[in-house]
Amino acid sequence: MDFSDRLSPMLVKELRQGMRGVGFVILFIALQALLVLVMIGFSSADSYGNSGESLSGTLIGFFSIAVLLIQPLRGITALSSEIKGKTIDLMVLTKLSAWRIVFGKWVSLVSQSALIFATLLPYMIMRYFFGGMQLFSEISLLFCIFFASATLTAATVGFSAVSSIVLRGIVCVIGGIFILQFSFAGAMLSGSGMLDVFDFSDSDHIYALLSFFGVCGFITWLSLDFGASVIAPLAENRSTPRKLIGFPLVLVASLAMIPVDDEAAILMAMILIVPLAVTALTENPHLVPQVCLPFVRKFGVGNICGRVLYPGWATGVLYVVCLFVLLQVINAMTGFEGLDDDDAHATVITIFASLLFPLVIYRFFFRKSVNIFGMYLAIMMFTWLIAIILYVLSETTSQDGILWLFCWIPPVNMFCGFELDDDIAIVVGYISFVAYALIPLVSSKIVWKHIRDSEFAAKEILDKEKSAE
Amino acid sequence: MPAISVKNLTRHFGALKAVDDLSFEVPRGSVCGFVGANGAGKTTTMRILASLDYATSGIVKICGHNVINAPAEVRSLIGWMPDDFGNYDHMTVIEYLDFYARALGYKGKERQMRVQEVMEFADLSNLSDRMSNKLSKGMTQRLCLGRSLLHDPEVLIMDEPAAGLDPKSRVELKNLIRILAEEGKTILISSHILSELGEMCDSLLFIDGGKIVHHGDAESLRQGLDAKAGSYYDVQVLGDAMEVANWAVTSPYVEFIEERKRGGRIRIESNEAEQAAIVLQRMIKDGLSVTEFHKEQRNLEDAFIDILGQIEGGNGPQTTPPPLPPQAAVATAE
Repeated sequence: MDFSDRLSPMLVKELRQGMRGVGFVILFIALQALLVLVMIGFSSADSYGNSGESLSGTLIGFFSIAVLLIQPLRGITALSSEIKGKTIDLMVLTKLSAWRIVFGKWVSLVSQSALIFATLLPYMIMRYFFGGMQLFSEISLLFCIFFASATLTAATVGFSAVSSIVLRGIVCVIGGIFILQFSFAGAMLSGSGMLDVFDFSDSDHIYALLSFFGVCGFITWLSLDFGASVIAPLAENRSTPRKLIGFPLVLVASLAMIPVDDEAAILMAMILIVPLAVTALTENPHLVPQVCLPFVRKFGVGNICGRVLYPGWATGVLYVVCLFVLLQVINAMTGFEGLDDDDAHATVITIFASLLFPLVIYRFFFRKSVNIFGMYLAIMMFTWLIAIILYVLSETTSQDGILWLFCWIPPVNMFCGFELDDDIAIVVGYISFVAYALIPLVSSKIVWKHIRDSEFAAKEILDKEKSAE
Repeated sequence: MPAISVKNLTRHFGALKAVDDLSFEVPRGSVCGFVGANGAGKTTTMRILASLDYATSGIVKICGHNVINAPAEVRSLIGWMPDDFGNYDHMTVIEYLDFYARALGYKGKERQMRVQEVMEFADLSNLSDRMSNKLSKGMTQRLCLGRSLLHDPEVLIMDEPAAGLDPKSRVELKNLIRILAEEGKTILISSHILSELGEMCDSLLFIDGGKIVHHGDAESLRQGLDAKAGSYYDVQVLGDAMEVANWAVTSPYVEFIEERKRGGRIRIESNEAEQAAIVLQRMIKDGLSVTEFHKEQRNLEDAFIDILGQIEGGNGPQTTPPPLPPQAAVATAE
């Protein structure tokens, strides 16, 4: 058996294509050329002085741009090009599952980033001779950057399944600006005391880094799973496992943070809940009987669980309500200290309402649009834009009434909480959360009927199986 | 058990009924032509058969396996050749086939052998190192056919495989399909080129507006079981070819079917030779310099148009002569 037979077919294909692609070759050669020039420049200096730390900063800066910006950006067309070229259909017909397709694409890009990382190591050894090196911290930092790169690549690969070029473009621009800032900050890290974070000497630092790795791992998994769920055939139910894993993940991650800080536990829960909720609220509601089979086998309990765990935005609303209940449980476990601060309380409840609000708008005005995820994100961005405009307007005119007038838009209510009255914002937040959960549930009779029909068809399949036995 | 079984298949896209209560069966080892105008529902039906789309209602089975409940089994049984598929950048023909062979679960020497067999069958051996995105349309279709045969499927679903091919590539593809049919594969093939389908297919399935309008073999269709009576003639004249069209407009029992280089194709509403003689006499009398006048067999296009015409109006073919030039129109009015 060939060595390549041990690898995923997708990885073999992507590596074959990726290593020949202009994108990687240019990036690789340009980075090497830049690093050689930097080394020559620093070596020819009259006195090394503090040049070791500056050299570290420069090396890390270039590395960050390569792996945090350029490599993830290469993933933004990973799935869309396959969908557009109709090759995704051909792959789905093979033994490759949707997850293996997306995972293979991600591993290929991360392997290329690893190659770039490996080529940086000789320069780091040379940098050692310039003095002032915090060996462990700098290597830890590089690993963290590599890990963040893998996460961002997963995010772009997963997001590349979204059909809207405009949305992908917006995400690229916003993400790109953010990453560039991070890269330049990274370049200056070695000169500051921030590098101490990466020496693992303090328990707070260890918690912070572990949280970072945990969140990165979660975002990587969720992003890839999102991409897989877009390209997967209907019979391949990716939603239920994702929803199921979500509950214990939120609970364990939050509980792990309680020893550090109660509010950090709530923050961790919200970091995990928001992407879980967004994916649950933007799913295609079409069900096939095969998906219902495992639930129908469990009779009544299965049917009840199905109302939360079946794919689709309607069950997603109930899932978000369950996540809200879970958050309250976590809050109770902190001795109600996690949401003790009114600002935090208002923010959390408003975030839940703002997750549901775009779905309400979608159901009322854009229900014919097939691209639920794109529409949802567009509405969410638009509501945040409106909130910012109203906030600026109220600040410049000193008219608080403007904000209260539009407090039914959740992001506006968040500004009301920050700037005006926490208590009222909390009440408004709860009312809007309940209202925005009820509206889509009430307006989705057809979806619930479709779920019942699918369950009925699944029962028929079960009965046939039993009679055949 | 039929290779393909479709019962009451319906597929809605919002308010649009792309497929409307479609039912048919294709026996094992037969070649079935799937015919219809653009937007008739052919591709939607074929995608559902290939487990790439889902039905709003109805049951679709491939060799007894339901496409919804057993997609994995169905996929191992079918070879799917879409009407349009993108190629990969930076990938040679052999790497392209190698990737799909890996994806289908072939390993080591078995994979290499399978790829070689397919390349030989599709005549791709001399193209193995060519970039797959730099192939001609004909070569691309052969590559696509090769890919769909990698796992030796029982059923082949081919959506417009001959679209955009030059005559030579079309003949090559037709020969490959003929070999596959002789090997006993069940083939469902859609095409606009009805004459080719007629030669290849055991049965033809005509679809319009998402509904089946005819299902039968090519010969019965040509004989005109459902068609209007009449016979078809090729008429060639000296001078302007449009003279035939203009003349046909004013002539009873004659219908202009299509324009040709030196005249046109007409239908005489009778099968009697006497009637044809009368028409010819009248042509000459009316000043047409007829150089050729011979009877043609009713082809599949005629049959298809007849069927569509019967459905749309209930009064026969909807073919209309081209608009008259201004002078002829004046003459007709006079």
